[in-house]
Amino acid sequence: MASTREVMAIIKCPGRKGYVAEIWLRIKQGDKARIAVDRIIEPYDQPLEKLDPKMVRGVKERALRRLEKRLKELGLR
Amino acid sequence: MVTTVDLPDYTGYSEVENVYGDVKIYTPSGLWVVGSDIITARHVSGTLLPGGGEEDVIFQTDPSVPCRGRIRQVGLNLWHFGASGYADAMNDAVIRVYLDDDVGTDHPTMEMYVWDIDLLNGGEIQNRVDRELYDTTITVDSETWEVYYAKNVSHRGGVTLAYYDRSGLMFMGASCWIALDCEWLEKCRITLYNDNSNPSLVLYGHGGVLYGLYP
Repeated sequence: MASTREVMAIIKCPGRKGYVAEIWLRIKQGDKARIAVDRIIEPYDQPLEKLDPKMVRGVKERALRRLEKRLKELGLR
Repeated sequence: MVTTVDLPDYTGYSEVENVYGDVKIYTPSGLWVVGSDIITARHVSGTLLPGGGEEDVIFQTDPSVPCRGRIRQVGLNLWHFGASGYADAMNDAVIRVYLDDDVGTDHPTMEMYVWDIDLLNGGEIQNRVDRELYDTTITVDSETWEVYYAKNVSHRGGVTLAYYDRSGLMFMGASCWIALDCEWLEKCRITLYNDNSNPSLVLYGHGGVLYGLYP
């Protein structure tokens, strides 16, 4: 039976090793529905530990931009 | 464990008979009915490093996809790699929560210093710091810090561990958590704000958020 996938929410946060997006999906099949969560991690281009705060901000912002681009490519933005 | 729950029409998905995953329902009798949160609860962690006067995002929903959910718990672990260059982990660290219309503004729906979280636990850590009732000490970069472990932690949260530099009169690290149980209807954002006036003094650590969405 065919199913449909609906995006319920997209949660974003700076993870320890990369920027994370959690995509909540409502998958409907007939009169049933279930929830699934896909997780995408866009790695930082360098470890955040011991970096200057301004560099950390830049590293995180670059990872967030790449993450947004990936979400757009997946048709989620 | 996955169970099946019949949803009432308020979801807007009246054609859906069943949803796998439990929800927390406030019943007309005034009682909360709570099921498993295994599917509807998730945890994310944020790596944080705000300078003085800055805030760093721990968690945020994408505003392009409105959703309804709840924050169950927020945890924070702040520490110093060395003896200098850092803000106070108790008195400068502020958890800010923005819900719905407050997202994108400069006035958070709620904000709490780590010191406030300790106070919700009776102010145990601060009280013992005032009387030098530390548990042990550690030496970092030739400086000795007092270490405090909370003896009792409320089931709603508290500061569980703190490092105090008595010579510098500041907290060099703190671990805390709090059960917020607040709900958003469309969007949400949680940040760590550094309330130090010096932009070069940073807070460093990680934040975790336990949250869930309504099916």
